[in-house]
Amino acid sequence: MRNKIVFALLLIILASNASAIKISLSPSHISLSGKTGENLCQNISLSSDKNVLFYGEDKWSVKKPKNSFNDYNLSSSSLELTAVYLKEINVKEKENIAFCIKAKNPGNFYGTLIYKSSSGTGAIGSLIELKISKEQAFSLENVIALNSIFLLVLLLLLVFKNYKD
Amino acid sequence: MINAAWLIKRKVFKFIIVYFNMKKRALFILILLSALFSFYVSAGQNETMTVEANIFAEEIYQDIISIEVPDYIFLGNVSKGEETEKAKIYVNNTGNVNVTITPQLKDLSDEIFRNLYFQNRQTGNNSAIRRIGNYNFNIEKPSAGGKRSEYFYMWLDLTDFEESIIENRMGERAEITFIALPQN
Repeated sequence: MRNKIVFALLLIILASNASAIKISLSPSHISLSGKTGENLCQNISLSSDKNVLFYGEDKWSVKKPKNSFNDYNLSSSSLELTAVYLKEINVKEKENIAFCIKAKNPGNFYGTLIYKSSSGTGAIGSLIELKISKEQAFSLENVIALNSIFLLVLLLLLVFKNYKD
Repeated sequence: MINAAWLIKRKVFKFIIVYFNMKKRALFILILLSALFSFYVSAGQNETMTVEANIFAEEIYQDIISIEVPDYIFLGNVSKGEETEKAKIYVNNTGNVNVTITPQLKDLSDEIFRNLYFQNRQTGNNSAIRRIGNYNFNIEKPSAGGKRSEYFYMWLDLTDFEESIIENRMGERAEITFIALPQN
């Protein structure tokens, strides 16, 4: 009788272990800041205790959400963000991957990078905080163009004055 | 008479010199400005080269989000107008940050499994019942690198199910994902 109980307990423990999967993602928070059009990247590592195929996706919000995934309901394309990362990756133990993002518009963007395991019910995500400032308005090109126009106007005025005299 | 003619000649000569001097100056300025303008324009044209690089952030932290979730959950048998037993689902936080778990139905239009309900505890202050899509729960980080285990209850409630179920649906399945995000 005692052996049967021990066997039953062992079976339960083994069964519970067999039906669980451990997945990890690092870092849990990704903070990136830069200018519009700049490619910003972060290395991330994904690991699992089993051979798992992960599917990646990113979701965004313009306001800082509380803690629920459901608050991230915008796609990167709707915010004119270009996110580049592996959408499918097979992880045996640990894989290092790059996450890169480029923004067309300035502002603060809040997002998540989620990796869902194809087997099982687990998914893990990192929170992304993206601060984008506007590219400098008075760039060298703009200054040169303004100078050229100014000189051209000055030249025309001088020619006109000489012609009048 | 001769003096007057000489004076007129001198004035005309002076006027011509001044006029040509001014013309020369104007011409000089014109050439100088044209050269400057063309230089700026050509410089501006050269500015159009695009330089691109991937800039990686510094690796200054090693915070890990890590969870252990069940592969498969069987909720038992149910008929229209009934609800299943409440399944106790354990999720382990094996990382080093506090996490929020949000259950998500892959197919939001699934007529059966959109009736999944959740509850932290069966009695007491923490016993509010929430439908899938409106539920999430927190697990604190484990102390000293271990794992912290938390549980919640999940069940299928077809008491208000309005569609007709005309034949048995054995092994009806839906993909539910427990999404773990670090807390802000």
